[in-house]
Amino acid sequence: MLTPMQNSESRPLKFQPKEAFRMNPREFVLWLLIVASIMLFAAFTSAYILHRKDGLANNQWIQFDLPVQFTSSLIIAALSSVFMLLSFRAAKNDEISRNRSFLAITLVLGIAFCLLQYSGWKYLTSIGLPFVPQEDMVGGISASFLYVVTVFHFLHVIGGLLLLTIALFRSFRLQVHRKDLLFIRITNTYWHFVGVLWIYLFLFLYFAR
Amino acid sequence: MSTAAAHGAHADAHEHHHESFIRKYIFSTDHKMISRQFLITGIVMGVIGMVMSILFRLQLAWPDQKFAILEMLLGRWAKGGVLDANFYMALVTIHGTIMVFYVLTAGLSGTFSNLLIPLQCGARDMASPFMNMLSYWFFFLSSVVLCWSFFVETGPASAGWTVYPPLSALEKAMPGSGFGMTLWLVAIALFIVSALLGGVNYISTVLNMRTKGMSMNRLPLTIWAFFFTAILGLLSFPVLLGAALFLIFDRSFGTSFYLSDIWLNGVGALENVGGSPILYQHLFWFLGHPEVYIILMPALGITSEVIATNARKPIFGYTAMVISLMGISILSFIVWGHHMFITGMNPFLGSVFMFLTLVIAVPSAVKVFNYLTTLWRGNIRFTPAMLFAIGLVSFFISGGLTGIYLGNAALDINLHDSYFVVAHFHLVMGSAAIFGMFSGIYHWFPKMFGRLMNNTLGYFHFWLTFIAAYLVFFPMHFMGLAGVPRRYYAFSVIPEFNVWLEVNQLITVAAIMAGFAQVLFLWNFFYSIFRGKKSDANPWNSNTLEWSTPVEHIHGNWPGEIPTVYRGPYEYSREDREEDFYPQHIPGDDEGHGHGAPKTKSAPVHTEEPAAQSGNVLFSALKKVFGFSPR
Repeated sequence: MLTPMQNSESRPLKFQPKEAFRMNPREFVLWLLIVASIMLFAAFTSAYILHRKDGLANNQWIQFDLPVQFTSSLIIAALSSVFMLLSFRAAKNDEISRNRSFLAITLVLGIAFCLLQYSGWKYLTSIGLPFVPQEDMVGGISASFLYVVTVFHFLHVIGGLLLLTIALFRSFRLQVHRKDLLFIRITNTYWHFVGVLWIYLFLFLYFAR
Repeated sequence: MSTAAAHGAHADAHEHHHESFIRKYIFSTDHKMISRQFLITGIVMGVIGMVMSILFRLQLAWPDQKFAILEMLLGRWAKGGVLDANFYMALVTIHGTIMVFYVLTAGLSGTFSNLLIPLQCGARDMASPFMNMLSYWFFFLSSVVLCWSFFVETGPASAGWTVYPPLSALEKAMPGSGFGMTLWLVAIALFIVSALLGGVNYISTVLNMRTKGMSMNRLPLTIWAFFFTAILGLLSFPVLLGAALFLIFDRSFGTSFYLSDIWLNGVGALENVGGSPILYQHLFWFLGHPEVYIILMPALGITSEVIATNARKPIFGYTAMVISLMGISILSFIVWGHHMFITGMNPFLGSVFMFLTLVIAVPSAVKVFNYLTTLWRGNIRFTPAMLFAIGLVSFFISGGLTGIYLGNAALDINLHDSYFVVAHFHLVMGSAAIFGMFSGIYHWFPKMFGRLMNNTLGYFHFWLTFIAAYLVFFPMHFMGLAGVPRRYYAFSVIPEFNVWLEVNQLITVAAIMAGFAQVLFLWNFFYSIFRGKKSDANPWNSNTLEWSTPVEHIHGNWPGEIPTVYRGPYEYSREDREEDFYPQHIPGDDEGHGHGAPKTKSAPVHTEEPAAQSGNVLFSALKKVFGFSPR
């Protein structure tokens, strides 16, 4: 909450500098870390594009369909974001039990997402597209890139699950309510970030492959 | 609770707070202590890097000479007193890594950002003191891992500080590609975590925790420089992390991100197909070029502050300085290709990178011009800090000019990987940035330690280092133009290069002289911490907020409330003031003429120009162009 600028004698200053940008510093730090994470994925996807261009020119790029599990996880991710949003709104309205319920559903959906991703990797390995290309396998690098992108996203989701678990514990200890929304707001922001990131990565892998 | 009351309560709480030795000196969350930790670790790493440079300079100057001391120090890496060729490459690699990352990034940014951001912005501490502590300890851990690589069987990493694949991607390629390279990658990954944790803290503190009255255009240029540096780091270090991850996967798991069609002696044809080493170069230099500005910009910010304070004049063109920092930051992301002109890129793309590289010289030149005009007709105090700041300007000009040559794609075909490049970056980045760091250390030593450094030793340190640096790096331009390549262990088999042997000897002697000058500095630094003349709160009569804190450090920086800011940081030598400085936190008659208040022609903020200058049409026009804005 911004306060009027006052000097130490508590009389208003003659000049009023424009009110500065203020956000809770911890929340702002989260946004900055999100920017750093975006740059990491930008590096991965840029590398993918560069490699694909050279690979197609040299017949060293395999094109394959994404596992159906990834499509399912896309839907799960979108659903989990909806429940996270509902959970945050419940917290803002001091609806503690609804907040708890929606947080729990989001956590379960997050775990389901992780299981689907794992299942997708297993499927790829089973059809001869492992992370490390096998001997005499031309173009296997395209699968390697997919694993890097999806595994690092998975690691980000694990971080989100950790935040959700802590938020759930705090909710049970009645530490999540209208007057203390910082942690749940951070969790909400981060969870939407990993959801939107997966939407972007899925669309990228789908159209760029 | 209002901000003022919260800060007052916070300060009261800390007056009664007693910390254990471990909490106060080891795992401290106080930004002032963390800045000293960064500084000491940076100095230690700098000494290690400097010793390495002298060792490989001995080899270059006297390639056939046996030095018993080498065998004594390095054991199997210098059998018979002659440096092993593989170890020579390792020395060059680790010297570069240490100087670029550990001294000039963490040592420079980490020290002064931590020290000055809260103090000059008017904050009790960083946005997240715990994260700040983590940032230092990740840096420390990274330093330990890098030093550990010296003691492994196959030796430290040795593919140059850029560790290009395929050398770095194949463990059996050479000794320096083995476990030492793995440790290098781990050290860099830890370093990146440290840099990111620090950077987000700096940005958050600058934007969210400034005191009352401290609008963005009242920030000292040091803070602007650290702010843009942190943004550069935030956007570019993750890309290096990506590059390092792909390299780790290629080395350890057998993927082919960077490898294709490799034949390895003693092993045969490898299975890797489809990779490209050029991908690594793109990812590396996407960080690599912003990295040089991450090194340079804090030094430029420090120089702005030191020059203004010691010339007793406002910095010329504050707005232009800020805009040029912004311009350098933006342009630094789109010039990385000039490190790759000879990789076979499309010539049109090369010309685009060339154009942008030449454009980045413009904001750099604006800064240099503004430094010179700040000095012009200033009431200059030649303190050691000021000398080092002026020395930075000298190196920036001479080193920057050779950047124009290297930025030309056609010329770079001849000059790439030659000593011309070595001369260029050692002048414009190495020497300039280290001079900025020394300037900052001399200037803010009283703030860090409550004492003054010895001026006489400081003058010796400056002159010896300044002369030695030019003696070391200037001759390298001619070597490079003659085609002498960098990173070579010896030139004795190439008769055309033998003519440079005596030049190499001169360079090595000058490097040793520079080394001795640093011994003087180290003595001065450590002795003054304990026995230096005690300083008062504001020994330089400076305007910025850090000098309003008491000499003895207190947690929370200010006893009582944080001062309010009433004006910009460069109000020096105002004719309406008896003293030649006007601190930011002193309320005055001109309260109504700060940022946001209407400026009227009948109430000018600044006094009349001296008659000699007001009659100078060209000077006035230049002032208008470069944005000399009253505040």
